[in-house]
Amino acid sequence: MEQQLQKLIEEVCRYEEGTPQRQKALNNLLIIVQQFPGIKKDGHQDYLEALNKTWEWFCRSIHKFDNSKVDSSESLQITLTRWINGYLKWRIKDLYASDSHYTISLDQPISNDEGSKVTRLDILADSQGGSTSLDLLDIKIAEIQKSEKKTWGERVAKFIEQDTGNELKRRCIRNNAECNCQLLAQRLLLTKPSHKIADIARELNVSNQTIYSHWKKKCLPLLKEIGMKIKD
Amino acid sequence: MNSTQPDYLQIPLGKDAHQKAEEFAAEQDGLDKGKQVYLNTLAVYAVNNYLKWLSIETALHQSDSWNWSTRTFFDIADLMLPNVGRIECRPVLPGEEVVVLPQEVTQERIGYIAVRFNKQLDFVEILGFVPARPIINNSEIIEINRFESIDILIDIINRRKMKVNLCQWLEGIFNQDWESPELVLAGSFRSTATMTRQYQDSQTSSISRAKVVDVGRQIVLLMELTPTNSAVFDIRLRVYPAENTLHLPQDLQLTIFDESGDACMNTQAEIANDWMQLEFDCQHEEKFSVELKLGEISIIEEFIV
Repeated sequence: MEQQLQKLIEEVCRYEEGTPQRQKALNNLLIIVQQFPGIKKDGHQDYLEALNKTWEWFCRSIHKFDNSKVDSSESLQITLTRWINGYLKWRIKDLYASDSHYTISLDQPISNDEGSKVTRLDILADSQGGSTSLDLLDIKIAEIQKSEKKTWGERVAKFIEQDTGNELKRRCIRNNAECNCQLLAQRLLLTKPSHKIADIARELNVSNQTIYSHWKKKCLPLLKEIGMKIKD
Repeated sequence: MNSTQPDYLQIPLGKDAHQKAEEFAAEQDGLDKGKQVYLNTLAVYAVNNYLKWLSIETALHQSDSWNWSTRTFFDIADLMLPNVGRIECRPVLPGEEVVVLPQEVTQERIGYIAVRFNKQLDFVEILGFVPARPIINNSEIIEINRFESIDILIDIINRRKMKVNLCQWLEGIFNQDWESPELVLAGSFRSTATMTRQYQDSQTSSISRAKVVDVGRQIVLLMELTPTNSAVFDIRLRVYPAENTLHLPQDLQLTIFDESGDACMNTQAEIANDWMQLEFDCQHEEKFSVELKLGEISIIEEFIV
């Protein structure tokens, strides 16, 4: 592990920024370094942004990491962790400074909803403060969509249904007026769950490929254009 | 962490990422579509950050996923890499074993990155990359274990950046590794005189350059470009054995792919062929790539007219 780490750092430093050799070595180095258990954690809601900045800095600056002055009794992993934390610590300080917060102790007990005392660190272990979990995503999306008075999607749906200028209806495949962009948009975009191209093809007695290419080449560019107009 | 599991690169999803995803999901009609856009946005955002770490240039705002009309009509998570092309960053949810590609992302893609989410949506893992070429016309479902190392993506990006611009040849600007045929073929066993006569037979306006590539055996790739009166260029691609050999290795394959990665022409060396060629024409700004393949080894060169 130590040897591999040493080898990868040398490999990264041997090549100039932007070269494929450096990019490949960096990728492998990151995979190892990100697993270091000593990388500093924090309960601030923007901690992950600080961490992201740190990895960006790490990739840019790894050639400045100087291992030569290090006490040989220490492992490379420990030295490197300390070097990374030295930067991350300041990015975390920036977060608290911009909040004009003071540093909160992770071990200080705080009350949760049930009235029992937990520490900030306990909460941190359960969830990342402020972010959305997959289980709660449905609720969150329903909320944000409701708050947008009328979504753009709804406006487009209305346009497709009305098609006042017959812009969509007019675009049909040769010899089959029924197979037009309005019908395809209704079936493929508006109906939930959407119809399959194969089913529509059977119903209208045309081939899958004809419908697919009409949809792709004629209808979608038109819808895109209409969408632009509606947004403006 | 389970030690039998391979470690993957992790990208933190900060509040900035979630804010963007919220903004895009809010435009959508319906929960499922909103959720799809939310996750697609996070996947693209994360990969964009990751490529920034590696100093790979990206252009979020030229991506269809960042264009509100296309993301509303399609299930897309593309990220544009300038002068390279689009990669598709497909979200993988916990427990999912396959990536299902919607029809709209099976075209105009360099390849696919699998981006695995955790339940907290605070980190994603990069599971790997699959180039588009073997996917197209084959299957729209990719099993997770088929995703390969990100090194393959890095190579493709690099190769596409080194893309040979044939239009510049007309102005006398040549890529370093493409040299005058006399020079390249000078060391060849075959008489240079016959070789040069062969390509000088064609019109004087044509430009020829050659390059030695290695597919386990050294092969000379000779590209002859002839401008016509219209915006079309005639292209003749020849392959000769390099080193001191007379014949091309048997089963050496030469294939031309169009921009979307479809093979359009192919030829294969038979016993004791001393050269082979493909002739085709190209429009201005058309892109194509040339593959030389011998057994397991293949070399791809990208061109733009």
